[in-house]
Amino acid sequence: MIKVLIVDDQTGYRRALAVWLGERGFLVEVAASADAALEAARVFRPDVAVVDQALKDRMHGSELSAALRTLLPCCATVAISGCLVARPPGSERAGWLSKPFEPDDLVSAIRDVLRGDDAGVPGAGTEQLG
Amino acid sequence: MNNFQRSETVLRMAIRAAKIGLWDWDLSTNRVVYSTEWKHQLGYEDHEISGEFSEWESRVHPEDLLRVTKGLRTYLAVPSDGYEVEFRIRHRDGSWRWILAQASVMADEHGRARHMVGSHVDITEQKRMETELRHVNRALRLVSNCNKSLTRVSDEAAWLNEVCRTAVEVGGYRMAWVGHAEQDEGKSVRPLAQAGFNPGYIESAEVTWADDRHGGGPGGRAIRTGRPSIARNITADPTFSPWRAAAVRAGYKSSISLPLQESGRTFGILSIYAAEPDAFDTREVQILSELAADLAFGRTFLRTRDERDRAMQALEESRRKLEEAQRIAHVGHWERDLETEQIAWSDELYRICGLRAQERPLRRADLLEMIHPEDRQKWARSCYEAISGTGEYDVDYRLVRPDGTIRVVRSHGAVTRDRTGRARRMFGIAQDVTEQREARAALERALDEIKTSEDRLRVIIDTIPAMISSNLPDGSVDFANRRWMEFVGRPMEERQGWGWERGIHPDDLPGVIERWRAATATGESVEIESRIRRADGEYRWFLHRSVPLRDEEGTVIRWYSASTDIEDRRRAEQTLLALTENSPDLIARFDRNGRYQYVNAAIEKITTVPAREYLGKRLGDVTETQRPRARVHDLVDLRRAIDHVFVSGEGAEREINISAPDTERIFNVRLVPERDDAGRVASVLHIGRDVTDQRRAERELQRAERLASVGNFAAGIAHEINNPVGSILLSARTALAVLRDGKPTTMAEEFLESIASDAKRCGAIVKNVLRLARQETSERSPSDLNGVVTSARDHVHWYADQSGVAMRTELDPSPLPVMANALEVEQAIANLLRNAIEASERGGAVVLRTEMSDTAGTVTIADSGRGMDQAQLDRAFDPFVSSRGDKGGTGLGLTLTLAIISGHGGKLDIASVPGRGTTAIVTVPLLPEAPGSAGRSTP
Repeated sequence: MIKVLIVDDQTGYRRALAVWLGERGFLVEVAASADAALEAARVFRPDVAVVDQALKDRMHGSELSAALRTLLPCCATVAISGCLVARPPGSERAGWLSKPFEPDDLVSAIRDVLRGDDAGVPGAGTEQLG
Repeated sequence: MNNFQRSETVLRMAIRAAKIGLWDWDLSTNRVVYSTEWKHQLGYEDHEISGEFSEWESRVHPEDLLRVTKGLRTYLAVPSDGYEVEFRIRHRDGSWRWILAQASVMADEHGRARHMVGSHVDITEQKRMETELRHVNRALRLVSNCNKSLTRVSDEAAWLNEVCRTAVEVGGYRMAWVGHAEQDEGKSVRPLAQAGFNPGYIESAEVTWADDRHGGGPGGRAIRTGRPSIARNITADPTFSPWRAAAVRAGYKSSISLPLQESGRTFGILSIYAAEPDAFDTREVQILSELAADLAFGRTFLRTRDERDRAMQALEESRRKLEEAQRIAHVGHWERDLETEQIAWSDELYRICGLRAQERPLRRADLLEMIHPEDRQKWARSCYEAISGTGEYDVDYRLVRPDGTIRVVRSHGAVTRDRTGRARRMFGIAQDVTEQREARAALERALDEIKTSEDRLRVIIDTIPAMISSNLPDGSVDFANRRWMEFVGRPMEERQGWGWERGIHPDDLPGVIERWRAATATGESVEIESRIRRADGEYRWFLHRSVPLRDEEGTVIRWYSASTDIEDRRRAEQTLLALTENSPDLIARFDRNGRYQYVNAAIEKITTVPAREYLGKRLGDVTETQRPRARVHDLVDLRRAIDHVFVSGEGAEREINISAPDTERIFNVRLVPERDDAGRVASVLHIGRDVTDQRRAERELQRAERLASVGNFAAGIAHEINNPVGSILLSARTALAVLRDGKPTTMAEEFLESIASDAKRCGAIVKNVLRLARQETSERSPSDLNGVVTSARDHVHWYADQSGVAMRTELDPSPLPVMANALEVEQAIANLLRNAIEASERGGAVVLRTEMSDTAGTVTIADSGRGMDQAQLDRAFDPFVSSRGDKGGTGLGLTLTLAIISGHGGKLDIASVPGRGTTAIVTVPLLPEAPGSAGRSTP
């Protein structure tokens, strides 16, 4: 069973993600902050971490992702963001999803990064505000 | 006649001639045969005396009888060569006669005593003489001893006691006392001295000299009569009755009281008591009277002696004081006998000469030798002139002391002459004036020094680079220094009385005279500026500072003036003035009371009000009848800022808008404090620079920046929208899945609620973005700021309750009328309140307060929550910066709030301290009140 850690500081969104992924057969743990995420990672040892990039926290989402990968080298990450900005450099080993997205796109993205295919969701990161 | 018969006849005649009585006592018959002479001795005829022995015995003095008979028996028992006895026997006239009896015993053939035969000589007279002699001797000894003791005694009391003591010890009397006749009502006699045996007799005697019973004794009588008074036999004397018992107890048998007299007046008595009766015979009384006189004399003598001693002491004292005074003043007196040329000097004069007092007698030559050789002639001439002519002598000369030191002596004197006009004596005083001379010399040296330093001062005054002058109170110059004279090109000789007013520029003269008159009238220091003509004809500006010099009574006696060349300063000032005048900046100066001191041409021009109308008035008080005018709240704010500069001493900066018919100008006004010498803010300089163009350029720049930031803005919108949209999508899918899977609908409801909430948030964001983008003026109407604030508070009340934060509202009691879109302002205030509540901890409090200032209403929202640091504060107004995260903020709250408040001509200030809280202050201009109502009106 694939273990997924969801890191998002918006309660409703976090809960919806947890329910959805749980229904899809993942073992889910949630964290509302960077510190909680690092703590959970030590105990839960997730295979994948889904990290909201716009964390109102001491760490930005990308920083937390890097910290998680350092802590657990086997752990893959999927970044989710509401911003229409380019995929940040150095996140090749990570999945990338732009809000809004279909929940199943996240399932695909998780499976992709676990497979080693780090391609993001088609269209995400390339779309520009016209 | 035979030889025997003849011899017997001769003897008989001799016996008769010698008044010798003969007797023959027949011891066997006890009968006595007396010769005729014997009988005559006792005043009897032959037949009047019988031969009975007992008859003889009856005639013998009782006191002597026992002694005599005893002697007879002793003699008869063992007869020796001769029998001799003295005894008294009664005369026929009753008086007692002293008899010397001498006898022998005639024996019979058997050797038995048959007859006793003897002679009988009357020795009464002899006895009396002896007694008298003894008494006289005693009295003389008494007087002599007393007089001797007079030289020993120290005072009167001792003297009186000594007299009494001598009377007892030398005179052999039993007691003696001296009494003083008091001049009191009872005429008592007060004991002064006493000696001898006195068992309380005098103390209880109560002798008086009154004419009564107690004054009737010898004492009283002696005082009254001034003559000695005797009680020959105290036991029998009737006048002695008051004291008899006591006197008998004390063993006094007779007494005498002798009057004590001074200048013929009796002042007391000397009373003497003897142990035997009739102790005072005529001669003795005479002697004792002398003693009394001596006593009185001695008393007087002692008194006089004491007085003389006191006088001598006083004399000595005054002499000593005189000497002391002379010693202190170094003054001595002298006397010169012109015949003997002996000079008598007082002690101090000797000391002045360096000699011991009265060390040796002095003659004229001795004195001359002591006088300094150079002064000898002067001294001699003075003496000569005094003696030969004037009689007055007054000379100073130097004395050379034995140790070589020199003293200066001033001597005054006079000459006395005899009847023929010949000078006999000179006398006078001499004083050592060396110290005085030295002091005067020192004073003269000091005066010289002062004069020297005065000269030096004058040199300084003439060389310092300032023009110094002094004026008399009437304005006339009595001194001007070299600089002055050089400047005006006049010779130094004219420095006095020179009329400096002639050098003053004619344009300045009236002003100078006016100031000068005012100064002399009040006597206060004055500063005057005027132009003075230089020697070459050029006028230069001077500052004249004049200070008055007053005498002890405060009257001005002279003015001192220092004139400083201020031409360069004046030029600089003029240059500065020209610059200021011609500056396009609005330049004004305000005095301590906030009143205009100066306004430049630029202000006149823009306000079309002449400069003179401003002077002395406060900012905003000038009636600006015409346009352009500054905005009301700008002026009020500026006026307050000026006042604050005076108080705080710190400069300030404001921007004001001035509307002209054709244009609206913005001025940046800097308020600069100007300080006096004491460091206080004396005035405030107002420099208003036209920044209209600058601000316009800034606004253009802002617009450009805004355009440039559209990209970012769009990205922000996308982020803000995408988040809720993403959430909606996810929640919708999840809800669908829940429903499809037949899970409990409550789970689906939860996600559907979330969807609705997120959708609402999207709508709000879009609406705000639209409003922000439009930036157009909304519809406004007069509103009460208090009402608007109250509505805003009601909107967020639920949120505050939910967050556990208390809200405290303090509204200004009067309405705060503003022209506003109430809904917008309400939203702005609500936004700020929401932020404040959100920043607060549970249990915290938020204060909402409205206040009215002159032209604006303020709304203060203060929390004591977490606060923001400077970086956060700087970004606070940027769009899409929200600290509320998932609490539903759109990130546009503050941006929108600021837009609304600015749109109403208001201001939003935020101050924050991390950990302490944030205070937001909204300032909205108040609506000018309707015409006719008091209070806030257009200045």
